[in-house]
Amino acid sequence: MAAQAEVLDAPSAQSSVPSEVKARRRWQLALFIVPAFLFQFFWGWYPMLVALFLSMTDAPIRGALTWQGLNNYNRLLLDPLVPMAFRITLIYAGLSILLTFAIPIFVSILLMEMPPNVMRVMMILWFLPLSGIASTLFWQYLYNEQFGLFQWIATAVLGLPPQSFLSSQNWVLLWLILPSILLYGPGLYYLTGLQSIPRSYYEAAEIEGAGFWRKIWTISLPRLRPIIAMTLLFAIIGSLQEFTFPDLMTRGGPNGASRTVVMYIMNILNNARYGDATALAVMLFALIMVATLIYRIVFKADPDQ
Amino acid sequence: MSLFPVVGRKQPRLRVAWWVIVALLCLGIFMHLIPFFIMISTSFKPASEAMAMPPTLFPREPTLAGWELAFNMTASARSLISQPLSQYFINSVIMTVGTLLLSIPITSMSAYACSKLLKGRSARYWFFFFIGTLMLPGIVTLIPSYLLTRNFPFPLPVAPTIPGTETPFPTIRIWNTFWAVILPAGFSAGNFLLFKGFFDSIPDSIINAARVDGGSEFNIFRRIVLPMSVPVFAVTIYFQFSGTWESYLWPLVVIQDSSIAPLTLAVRRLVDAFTYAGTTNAQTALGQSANVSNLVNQGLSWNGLMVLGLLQAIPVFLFFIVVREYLLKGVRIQGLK
Amino acid sequence: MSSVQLENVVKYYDSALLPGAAPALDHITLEIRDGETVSVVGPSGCGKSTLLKTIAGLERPDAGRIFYNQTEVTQIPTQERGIGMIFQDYALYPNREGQGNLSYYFEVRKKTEEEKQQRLKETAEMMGIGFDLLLSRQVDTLSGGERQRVGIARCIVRDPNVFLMDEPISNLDAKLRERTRVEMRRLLSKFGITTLYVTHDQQEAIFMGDRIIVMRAGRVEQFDSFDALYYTPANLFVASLIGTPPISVLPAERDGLTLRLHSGDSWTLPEALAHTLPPGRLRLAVRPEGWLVALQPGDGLALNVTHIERLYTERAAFAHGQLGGAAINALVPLDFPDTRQVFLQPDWERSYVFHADNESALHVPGVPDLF
Repeated sequence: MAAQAEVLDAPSAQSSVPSEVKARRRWQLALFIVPAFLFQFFWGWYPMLVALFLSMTDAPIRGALTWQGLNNYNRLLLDPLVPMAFRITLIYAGLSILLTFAIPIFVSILLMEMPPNVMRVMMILWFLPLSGIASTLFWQYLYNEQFGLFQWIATAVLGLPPQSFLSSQNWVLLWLILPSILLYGPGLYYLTGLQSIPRSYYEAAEIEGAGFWRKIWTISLPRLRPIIAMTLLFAIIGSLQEFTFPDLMTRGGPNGASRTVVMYIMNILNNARYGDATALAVMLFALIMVATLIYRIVFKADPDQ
Repeated sequence: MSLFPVVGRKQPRLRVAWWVIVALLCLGIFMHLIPFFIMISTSFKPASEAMAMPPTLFPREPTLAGWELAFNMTASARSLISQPLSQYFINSVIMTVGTLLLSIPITSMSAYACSKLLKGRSARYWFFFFIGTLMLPGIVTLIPSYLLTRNFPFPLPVAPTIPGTETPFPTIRIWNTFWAVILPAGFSAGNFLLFKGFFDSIPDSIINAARVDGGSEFNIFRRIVLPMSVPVFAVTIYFQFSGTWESYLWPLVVIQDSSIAPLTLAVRRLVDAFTYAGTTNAQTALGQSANVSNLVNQGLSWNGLMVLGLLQAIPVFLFFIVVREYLLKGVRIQGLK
Repeated sequence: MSSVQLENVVKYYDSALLPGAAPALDHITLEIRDGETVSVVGPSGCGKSTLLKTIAGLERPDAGRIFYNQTEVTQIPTQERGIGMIFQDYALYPNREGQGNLSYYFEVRKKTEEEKQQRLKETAEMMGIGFDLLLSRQVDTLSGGERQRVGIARCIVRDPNVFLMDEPISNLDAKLRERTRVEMRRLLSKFGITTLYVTHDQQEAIFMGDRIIVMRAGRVEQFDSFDALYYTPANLFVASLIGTPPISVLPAERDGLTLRLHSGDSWTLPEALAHTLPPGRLRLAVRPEGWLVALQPGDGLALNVTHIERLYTERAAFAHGQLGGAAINALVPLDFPDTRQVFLQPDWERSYVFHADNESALHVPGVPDLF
């Protein structure tokens, strides 16, 4: 402890620092950090903190702000469209994670079984990105009720009566999610994770007599666990904020049956109700934080830690 | 090559299983390629065939009409989207390139600082500062950020007045300019994570060797680290590129003039015209459906939309092909703690 | 070329700011003479690499001062200290070929092309035959030994004041290690550059160093020539670190002229030795060659031999066994018969006695006069 006190008492060395040397060191570090700091502050943390404040004001287009307290929140809770948007968002997020999350993981595991050259080609084809915007065009074309491919399959091939697809209030969410099965997932991360598993793990398992599934279950998946934990978290955060795809596909219709919370925020924003829109965003923020928290607690039961 | 035993692969049971996997993977690839095929095929169909029932697999009378019409927007199409398509394409390019030029150096340098220049506690605080927003839902920043673009640095609809006077504080307005898209993307937390993971895997001793050789920190970054990190730059540039190229919600909020709107917004306008004619008010709906039928008569229908979709898809697609070799080498993250 | 002096250097790591944490370097004071090669040896985590990095200027000391040639350099950045450093993992710039690795130094200093070429030529000559070939090759095509040669050349090319080497050969395989260390010794004695050589291998430390620093837990335990470390260790730690097979340590108790082991057996101490030792608990330490080994019971204690290790190349053998709860290895002639039991007595002239608690030396044999 004596030595430590001496250190903290700024010994002779500290006082004899040539100031230009110190300044240059600071300046070099600043060059690396300051630009990123400014951007991350002004377009990251600052608006995030301001949102809380803004959500409790009326934020009119002209004139001064007035403090509204929780009035915005009260008004939103009384709006029947808000719980509906939340319900749709939850269903949308749940369904899309349930139907699509596991696929790239297993595809990656299976891709690793191919000979290296075949794997490289297959990987490129599997994860070939189709622009999200372009794919909305494509799927709308396929879902078209008059001349879409799906209508043709339903009527001419399966002999069903004409289907309403995206204009069906009950099924629209499912039709919206199905295409994302083919979309580009975070397969790249899984592949890099799998690549870093030493071959010897599998050899040891083989000597123990482990078969195909057992190796996946006891080696591949546990080793991917940190990456899966991360991608799943981002999938939860991302899918609860879904906007682009449903907005381009259905505009929230029919009758708001596919209107997610973010789409409703945009509706309110278009009416220049900034306070309300921010309050709704804060509510969604809270929901996502709760989901993240639950997820954290569930995933904490980690045998490795 | 690790789930199947190396010895005894010839057993019929294992052989069948292996081929089943190959078949499954091929099926997936096949399904993944269908959209590309249909879009290309449809773009070469005449307008009426694109809307024919039953749909045709290949264009019966292949034509470039869709492509030509999409590029030379006629007067009636102008009423739907007011600029020539090339203008939207150029706008998208400007926004994307601008974002890349700004964001990649800034993000990579801060990640390098966190990985190699800062140590101990300060490194952890900075890491949290940079990565924290990634773990929080971004939607909450949407409205304040939008207001920031109008009255920087005040995230309010109107700037407050200077106390004791009637004049408002001077503000910077970047709303409805390219800067409104480029500046907020100046730092990317996701790319920060990728950069940091990669730089962490570079041994400290190499940096130390360069310091002993006499390089300043910036010189080391540029001359030693940068050439070593081509894969991670390829990956992050690709992600940033496709992210900006595909961005839709943010330009929708901050871009109003169609002369500076990106391609994604043009897609939205046209899709609206084709599919939602009649959902808004009756007057415009009538006008729009008239426009649409006009277009179809001129030979532009879904074939033209597919051209639009392909224009949107091709740059990302090409970029992916270019960087494919680096994709697996560039990602070195081990998940978040 | 210069001497290196450290004055009360203290270094804490960030995590060690917690109360009670030990410093990585604890008041180090030492002087390395001009042109001398000094090895630093110690167990992992003893702070030897930190010492090297602090001298290099890659770590800043929290207190204390560092001098090169009587000039204080404590706050001078590495870039300006004019040192050369060799790393365990070679730390070559992977995207440059051999020559590019050597020329980075000249690039950042804006030296002229002629000067660079001149130095490259001189370096290649010094490095010996075949070195030019390495210069045109990409780093990832070089073998470990070749990489280290480029690493050494990268240091030499700048004509450094001080050479700092951080376990430079421990990543090489055994045979190459032998060759490289001979090669490095040759180069070092040719240049006469002040060198600090960090290693965890005492053999290497002995071979490379004119003098040796033994470190433990951030402190310098002893800094001296090999003979001094071997024959006059400052404490038990130094004695057990230096020498293979290691010194045998027997906890014992002195009572008059009797030295009783824990097992209850005892030896009789010579009077002259007994007078220099305090009564009570002690630690007796004997090197393998310090035992008098007999096949017949005399004054010796019986040692149950577990096995006899015969080193034919060294023309020697070691008898291993347990005595009084301590592992013993005793040097015996190569043709010693296979036996289950021998009788041992320390050669008191060549044995060491240490304090039981603080392990400081109470009696050491002293450096023998060989000539």
